Amino acid sequence: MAIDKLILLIMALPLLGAFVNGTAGKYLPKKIVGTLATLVMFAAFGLALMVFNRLHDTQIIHLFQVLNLDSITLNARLQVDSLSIWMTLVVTGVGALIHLFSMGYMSHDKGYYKFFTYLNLFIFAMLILVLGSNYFMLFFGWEGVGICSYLLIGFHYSDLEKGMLNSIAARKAFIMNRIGDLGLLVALFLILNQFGTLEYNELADRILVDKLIPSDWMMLGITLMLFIGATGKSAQIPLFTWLPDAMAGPTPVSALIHAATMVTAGIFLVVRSNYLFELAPTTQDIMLYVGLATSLVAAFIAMRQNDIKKVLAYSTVSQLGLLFVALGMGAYTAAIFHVTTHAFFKALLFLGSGSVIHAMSDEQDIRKMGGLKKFIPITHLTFLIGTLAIAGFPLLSGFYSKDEILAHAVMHNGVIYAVLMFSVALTAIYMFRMYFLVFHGEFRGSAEAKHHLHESPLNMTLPLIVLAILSVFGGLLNLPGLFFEKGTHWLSHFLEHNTRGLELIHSVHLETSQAMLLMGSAVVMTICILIASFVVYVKRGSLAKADSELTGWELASNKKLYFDEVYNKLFVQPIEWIGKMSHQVIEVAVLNKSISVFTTAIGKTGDLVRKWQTGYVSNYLLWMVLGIVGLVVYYLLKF
Amino acid sequence: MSLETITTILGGLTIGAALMVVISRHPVRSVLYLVLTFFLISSNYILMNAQFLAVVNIIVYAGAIMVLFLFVLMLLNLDKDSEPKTHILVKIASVVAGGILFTVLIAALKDGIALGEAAAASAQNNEGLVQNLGQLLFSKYVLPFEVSSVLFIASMVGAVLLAKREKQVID
Amino acid sequence: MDALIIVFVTGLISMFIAMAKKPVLVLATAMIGLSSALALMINQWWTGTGFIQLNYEGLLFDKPSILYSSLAISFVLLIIAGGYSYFKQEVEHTGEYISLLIFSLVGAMCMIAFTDLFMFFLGLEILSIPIYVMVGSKKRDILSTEASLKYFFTGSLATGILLFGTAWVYGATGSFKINEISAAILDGSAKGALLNVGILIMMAAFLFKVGAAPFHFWSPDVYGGAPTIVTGFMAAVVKLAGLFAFLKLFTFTFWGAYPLWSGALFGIIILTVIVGNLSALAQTRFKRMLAFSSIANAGYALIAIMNQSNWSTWNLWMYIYGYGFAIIALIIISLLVNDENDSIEGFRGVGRKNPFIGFVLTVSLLSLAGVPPLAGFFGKYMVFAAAFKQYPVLVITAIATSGIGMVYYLRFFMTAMAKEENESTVEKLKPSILQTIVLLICAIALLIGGYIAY
Repeated sequence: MAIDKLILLIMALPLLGAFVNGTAGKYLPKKIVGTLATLVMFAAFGLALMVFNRLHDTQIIHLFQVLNLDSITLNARLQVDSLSIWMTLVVTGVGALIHLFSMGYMSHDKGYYKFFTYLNLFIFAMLILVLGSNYFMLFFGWEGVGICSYLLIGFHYSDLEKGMLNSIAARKAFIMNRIGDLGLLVALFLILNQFGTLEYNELADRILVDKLIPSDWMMLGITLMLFIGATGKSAQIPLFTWLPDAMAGPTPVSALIHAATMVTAGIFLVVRSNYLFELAPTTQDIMLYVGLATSLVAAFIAMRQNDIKKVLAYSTVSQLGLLFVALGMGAYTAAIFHVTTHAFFKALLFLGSGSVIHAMSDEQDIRKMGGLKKFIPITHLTFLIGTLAIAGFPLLSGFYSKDEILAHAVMHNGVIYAVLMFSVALTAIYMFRMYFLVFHGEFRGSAEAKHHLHESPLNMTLPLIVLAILSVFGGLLNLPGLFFEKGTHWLSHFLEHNTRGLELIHSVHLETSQAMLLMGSAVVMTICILIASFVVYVKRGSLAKADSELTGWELASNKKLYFDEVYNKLFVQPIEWIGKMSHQVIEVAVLNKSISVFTTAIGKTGDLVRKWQTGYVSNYLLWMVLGIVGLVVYYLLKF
Repeated sequence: MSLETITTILGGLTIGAALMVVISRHPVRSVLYLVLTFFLISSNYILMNAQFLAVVNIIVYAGAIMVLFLFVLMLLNLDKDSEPKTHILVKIASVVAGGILFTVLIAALKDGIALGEAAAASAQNNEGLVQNLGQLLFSKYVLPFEVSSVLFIASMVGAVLLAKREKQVID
Repeated sequence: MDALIIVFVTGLISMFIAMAKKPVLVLATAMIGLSSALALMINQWWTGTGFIQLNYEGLLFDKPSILYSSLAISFVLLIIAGGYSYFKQEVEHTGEYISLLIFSLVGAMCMIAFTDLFMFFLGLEILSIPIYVMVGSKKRDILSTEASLKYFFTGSLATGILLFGTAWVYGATGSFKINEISAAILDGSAKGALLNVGILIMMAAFLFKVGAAPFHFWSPDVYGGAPTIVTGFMAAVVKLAGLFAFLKLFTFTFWGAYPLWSGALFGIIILTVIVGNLSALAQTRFKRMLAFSSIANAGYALIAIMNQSNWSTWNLWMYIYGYGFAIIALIIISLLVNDENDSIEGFRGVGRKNPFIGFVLTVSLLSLAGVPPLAGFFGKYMVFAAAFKQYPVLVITAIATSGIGMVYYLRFFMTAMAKEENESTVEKLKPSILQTIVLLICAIALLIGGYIAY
């Protein structure tokens, strides 16, 4: 099959799954529902691999025309190039594993078929997002993943205890994303206004070939608006608070949507528009500092969170901040590399936490865990690998991808490197803290919970194992040119091969000695933290404190630096006040009054006209005759 | 006596009889005046050389329909008491409306006299004869002639539907 | 022409087959006959000729006539199918009810395809007389009889007026044929008071038929008193025939006298839309509200006739399309609700009793109110947009009053969708399969109307 047919099939498979499960899923047994949803994902991944093997040049697949006006034409088209096929592989691959995991994890849920419908639909929307050939398609997918995310965060909306909270979390995510989406939409309009097209290729031609570059201010505006869009979806300051709350959704959702795929849409957007950002250095700087701040703040907050998923959520935010730092420095391929490895180990960690929660009978507080390594060995082992990977333990995937970003930072600015190192160190600290608290020491939960402890079934552990292997060896994708001559920087070369704009950006490599120094310091730091954590949490048996005992920085970290409270005071309450006032003054006093006066007047006239209808035929006939008289009199007067 | 004088006299009589239909207080008398009016109209038809129409008018209207009217009126046994009361304002309004309509129609018709004369001159005078009418009906106007049968069957069905005695419902 | 014959024969057969006392046979005959007539119409639209070449003076089925006739046949099909539950209540009369409606359809088709005033008058009578009877067909109901008589009295006055006007026009032009009349007016050989007054008097008769103010007084009483299904027939089919004949006679035949009648029509339309909508506001009975709403709608449809555009035939068709399907759906729902007092309150909670009916009700009411993307919106939009340049005042008045119209449509909607207070009175609404199909067709027609308009 030709590439275009394969791509269409890749798109159609999740849609088919969603359609079948959405319409008939209610009446099908759970086994079939889950198997179908998972199978289409694996099939899509297989097909994506085939496309990946055959792809040499950028391919455009025209589907249909959406809108054709004099001034604009919108097409539904797909574009297959290195970047989009790489993202497709990540989405379908990680997605397939998480589908498999969900089959076991969600097996007791009433909304089983609904869950898989949404999940497949999400994959479909995500594929549109990455495979679309223009910003219009991207926006379509962007909104599509947004709605799926909303549906899945609030999936347990009817839960007796937490239903309301889940709904609120979903709403928060949706509203926060709306702010970002507005930015994206404005950016789209600006692009359309300046370049007259939304197609990536045409846009790239205008800028890279024809050199039709608008003023600096305009470029700043466009890129800033794009970046605002990205901050919404990819949870950067100031729009990041929705992501930790989004953990209200089922754990596989957190793994798939809020760690591995959807939240990296912002990164994808920036990489896709790299030639625009290269023309707006101010935006790049803004991106860099926002990313840095986010990375630091989120890492700090993660230090004293006690909910296993919240820690991972803040860790995701922190990693996304790191990615934006990379983007701000123009290290696009490094960012995509880290997106990939991050997808592996963060999905692994989330699924691992899911397995832990499953074993703990839905308990998420790490203070009630401990010593779990005896009870759930596979989960423990894979979780350990994930932790090591994210902490940057030598030779694991996270080590390489982080190191590449750090190397860029060194070349960019020493201070940034230092701050970034600090953030990376924090990451290692909170991850080890969590790991040790969960898996080592004594079990701190109730006896009944202890009785229920069990290792997850195979369909849950299998994805963990596969992801663990990927987390270990993912680094091979983009080895630094330090130890080997050949086969290094494979991913960078692959992406630069036919992604518009990327081939023009040449990354300078560090001197070997300097690079060795960097790596060495990173290794030393990680190992020191590991040992320190081991000593503190295992040897001395320190435990997480209860909320009331916290003071100073710990309290600030535990309270999430009071972001929610400040936002509430700054935005929510004033707006509520405005809403209340406009309800009282404008609606009740002005609008309702005037409308009621108006309607009474009309009602009165209605009564008047109705009395005309007397019910006597003779009157009707009289009026008819009068009507004719009127007509004839009109004629005599006028002609 | 010229034709014109006869036409004028007949026309005057027709209008007089028609007025009497409206003016008479007693319904039966009204109906009788109506019969007279139909006869006078028929005579006008004859003067216009439309014998068939004249005969049909007498048979159908003066004969069948008016007799039916008379029967109905006698059966209903109307008298003064059962006469519906109409508001004086309505009466005045009716008179005014009728008067105005009459006036404006006369005024309008005055313009039309010349046109009417021209039309009358050009018209063939023997179209109203039975033979010619028949030929027209079965050639040029065959479709309306046939379609009128639909009208008749529809009215017959309707009449039967309305007049048929309903079966008594036993509760 | 072949379709017309088929329709008539269908009427005859359904009347005689009723002797078997099997209502379902009558229904089947009527359905088959009307469907084949519809098929013949569609065939003629595509091939340009009928199966049998019949051309007589008086009727000509050209493209607009086919368009309107097909719509009329479809309406009657839906009405007969939807009202079957009512017709079969009295086995004695099923055949008569159905055949009378079909005869009336013959009249409507004559009124649509006429080429001389002769044929037109015959068509009008064939249309009206069965309706006089059908309005009074609930013989035990005094309101029905009263409505029938009222309709008959006022209707015969209108017929008299029409004949009177026709005579004047004939006097001025010397012809009954519409193209000869049209030519005589355009070349100036017919003019003056004889013609002008004749046209205006004929217009008065037309305004009576379509129910425009101040010739509308009969319609609330008649609509209210008539059996529900007959109300639907009057609102859909009679209006369709009357409006298209109006269009054909005035914008085509009396084109030369446009300044004369357009001025008069202008005032009439404004009066009609105001009176119709304001009166409808205060109604508490469903069919009376429908009557006033139909008056208002006639006013809007007349705007299509006012406007000098090649598209007015099409615009008017689209308007009637949206209006007719919505009315038929509402009428059938009202037949199902079967409230003795016919009050709007009787519809309370209908949408909750049966969500499907609620859906159809919503679609039809919103279409009547002119909410996009339903057919009613496109009809209104096309008519208003075409007339706006020439008559801004007219269109603005129409839009403002259709805003008032929204109030009673939506109020009705709210009632129908409201929660039933005491559950004990709730009976499940059970539409028959036939009615479900009819409602479904109406809803689909309203939903896809926009694409047809496109």
